[in-house]
Amino acid sequence: MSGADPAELWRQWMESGSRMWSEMAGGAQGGQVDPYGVYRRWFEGMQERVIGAVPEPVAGNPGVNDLWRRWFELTADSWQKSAELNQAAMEILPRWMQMLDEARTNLVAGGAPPSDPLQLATQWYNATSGPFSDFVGDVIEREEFLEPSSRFLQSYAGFYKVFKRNSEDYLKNLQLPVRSDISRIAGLVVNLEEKVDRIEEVLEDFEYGYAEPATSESVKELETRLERVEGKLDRLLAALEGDSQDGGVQEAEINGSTVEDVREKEES
Amino acid sequence: MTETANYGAVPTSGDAAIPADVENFFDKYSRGMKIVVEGAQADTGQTPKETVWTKNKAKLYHYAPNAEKKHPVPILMVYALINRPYILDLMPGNSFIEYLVGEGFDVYMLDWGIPGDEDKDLTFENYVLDYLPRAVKKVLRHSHSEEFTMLGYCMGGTMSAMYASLFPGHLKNLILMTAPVEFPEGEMGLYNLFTSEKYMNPGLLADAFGNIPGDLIDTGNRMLKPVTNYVGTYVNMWERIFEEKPMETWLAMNKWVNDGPPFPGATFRQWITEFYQQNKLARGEIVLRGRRVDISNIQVPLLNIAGEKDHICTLPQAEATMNLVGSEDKEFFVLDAGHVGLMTGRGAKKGLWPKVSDWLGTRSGG
Repeated sequence: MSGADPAELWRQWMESGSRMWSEMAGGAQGGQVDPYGVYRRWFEGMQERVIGAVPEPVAGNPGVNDLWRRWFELTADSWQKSAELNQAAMEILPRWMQMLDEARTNLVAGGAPPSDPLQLATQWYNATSGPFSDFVGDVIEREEFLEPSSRFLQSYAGFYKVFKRNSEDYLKNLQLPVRSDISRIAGLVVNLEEKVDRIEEVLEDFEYGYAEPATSESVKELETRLERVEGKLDRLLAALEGDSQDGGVQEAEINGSTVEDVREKEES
Repeated sequence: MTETANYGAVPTSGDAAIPADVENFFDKYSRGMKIVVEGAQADTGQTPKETVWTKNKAKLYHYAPNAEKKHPVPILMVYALINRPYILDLMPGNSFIEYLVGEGFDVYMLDWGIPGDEDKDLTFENYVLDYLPRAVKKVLRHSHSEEFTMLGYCMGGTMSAMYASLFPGHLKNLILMTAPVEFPEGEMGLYNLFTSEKYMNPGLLADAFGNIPGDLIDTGNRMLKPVTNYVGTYVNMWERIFEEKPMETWLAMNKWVNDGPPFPGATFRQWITEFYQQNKLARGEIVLRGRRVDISNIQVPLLNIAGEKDHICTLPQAEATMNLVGSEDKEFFVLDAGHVGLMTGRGAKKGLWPKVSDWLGTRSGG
């Protein structure tokens, strides 16, 4: 007995795939089949049962009931959208058939199928991935894909936010620290580190000369200048005291004068 | 006669319809399944380095020279907030940093680290006005240099361009690799749709998640080439395992692809709204703490690198920089590669790495 012929397997896959899509397309064109009706009815039933089973909300707390209701509404809505999306998928059937045709051409161009399953799989992938990738790219760009994906992401984000908030509230009521408490402490540590970093920066500026620190030479120079100023002040005081005793320079005359004026008067 | 599958060098046993070396088959199968289930494990970022500065989660690395320092002007590499920076130092023999160090360059790299919940409010103001200037100061002090080269990769390139336009002092050269600076509608491929106001509300996501999960960002990137990323990668893996080809690079790359850190929520909001949706950077309308970012302030020599097959930063997005900067010495270098492919592998060793080394060699003293 020999193993299955890979070419035969490929032919069967092609035929079954094409038949499935053709049948679906035929059903869709008839407009009498609603394959998602079952799921929709199931979800509607679930909505009634689950929401009915959840106690009414306490005043001022929308809580669990509201959360469930919103989640079911969103989920049922998503399924409805999904049904519409798949209806729209029928419109891209010709593109799908074109993709299959390109894949078949690529496979045939690869020569006789290898007997090794791994090589067969690799050859199959190499032949089909290009056309399939192009097909998926075309689908992703369509409004029918982008719109529900966007809605799903937003619904998921909204649900995540409500769930996170309610979980934190619940754990806080149990006096348990939650993730936000830890982040708050981590934030304080980061702020502290920031202050240490600034101090380090200032010290480095000092160390590396950006701050131009005073040298002993410059300090000495300052001392000399201060001594000179002190000497002048002493002389000024002495002149004032001497003049007041001699009745020479009047205080009124000093007011508004510069140090140089006083010195000149003293010298004269 | 029985047909026998050829799983590598598998001996046959009589007329058996299954491979004789069943154990070998299951060994390879279990190796593959282990990778699929547990994720790829690989030793990455192995070039010897020391941490010379840290701030919050960010770390500044200095790579130990293994050759004589030929070029006194140090290089500071700035990576993106998306994905981890060890793609620049993937593994021995396949590392851009290892190559540059071997060429006698003094290399530093700023690793932004993995943000925690407490970092959700960090914005471009923090990164460009606080972190980068401080890191630059550290590089200059540590290297005892008055000038440096900044090399920004991907979103790190966008941040480097903003830094260069605000703080031109001490900057000697600027290298931007696959760095989007303009975000022209109709030139961004699928990103144009994924990030459009009609389908993406970044404020809502940032509000809900705090930091945007790395998986979410990763999914967005993978959906640009879904078949290649979700199927092709693993076809490649099984082929390598069963044909006993080297797995090291595949494992390192796969580890990196699946290792995306969370994206700080406030920065994500800015990135999508002000950059992708409003294209403010190229228009000179980005304002950070009252300081307008004007790309035309960039006057230093510029090497702008892009990948022809890059679908994350498309060619027009990178090329726009050439008309926006004020530099006279500027070059646009295009490689026949994708966003990551230009950085690693055989093509990078022959294309990107020598190009950067040659360009910098004549502009880094020594």
